[in-house]
Amino acid sequence: MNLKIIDFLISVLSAALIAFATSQILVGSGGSPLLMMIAGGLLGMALSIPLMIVLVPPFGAFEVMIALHWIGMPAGMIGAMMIGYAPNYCIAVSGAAWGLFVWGLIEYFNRRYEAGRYESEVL
Amino acid sequence: MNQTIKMKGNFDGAAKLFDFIRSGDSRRWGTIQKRFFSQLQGKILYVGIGTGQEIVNFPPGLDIVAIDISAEMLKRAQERISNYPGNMTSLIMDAHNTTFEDDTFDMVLTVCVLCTVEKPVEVLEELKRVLKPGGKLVSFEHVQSQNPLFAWPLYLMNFLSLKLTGTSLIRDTAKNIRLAGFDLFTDANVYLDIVKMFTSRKPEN
Repeated sequence: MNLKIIDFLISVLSAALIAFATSQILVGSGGSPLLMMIAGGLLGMALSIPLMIVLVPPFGAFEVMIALHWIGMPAGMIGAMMIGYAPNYCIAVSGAAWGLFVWGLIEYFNRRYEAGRYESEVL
Repeated sequence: MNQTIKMKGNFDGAAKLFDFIRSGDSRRWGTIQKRFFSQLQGKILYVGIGTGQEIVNFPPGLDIVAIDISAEMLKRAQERISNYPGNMTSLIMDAHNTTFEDDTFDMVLTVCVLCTVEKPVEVLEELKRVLKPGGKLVSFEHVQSQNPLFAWPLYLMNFLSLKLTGTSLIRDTAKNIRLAGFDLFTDANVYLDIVKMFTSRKPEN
């Protein structure tokens, strides 16, 4: 499969998974919204580590690590803050939306650097 | 413990899984490496061959001396070395202190080495010594991104990376190349201002 499509899928699906998993782990734990947000962020970061370990070897170190760094904490926070306010599929879709944003951001900057590749070849 | 011995131990230990861990990177960078390596010619020193994953991206018919600090890595590279359609020999050697004469090579190639060696400027000075005047240093390396969005995660991961593999994620390799006295004339992006291709020249005098 094209690696560009894989990068897109990694970002979107990882973010959806982290948001959903965080909500499932923290559901019923109570606490103030602020505390839930902090717990979700930390849990999201923790969940991104095993994902990195699994995804880096087949799909490339920097392509996976940079994306998951920007996905872990916010996706976890999204999952935690939506507990009790939205059904599970909405939590996963919201996580996926964050993953889509991160993918777009990385793609935008990489294209900018790509465009400069040949201009910068001779210093 | 001496850092070089520790690093050698790290790479001996990692040799078994090295191909697997780097398989994604090899797949992504193959095409661009083929294009970048097409400039290789003459007598070449290939520093840090590892398991030799990049050999398939070399043009055929080159005369290459490959070195690595890890015997385990070199052992695993042997099949690729013998399959290479050109002249390639391998030696166990520390890039900080090679045994080659001055002005021996027309070109020196490094692939993800300047991020790993203990003292990058010292290594670059050593590589400059063994290069002929006007010879080229060709480097495919990952470096510190100048973009804070991508530099920040690298800073966070650097501690873990240094601890586990001895690889730094935040080296300013372009600056190091200049500090070692090379004329840097190519600085091209491969991925997100993190993975880059450098071409430099040893001054004629």
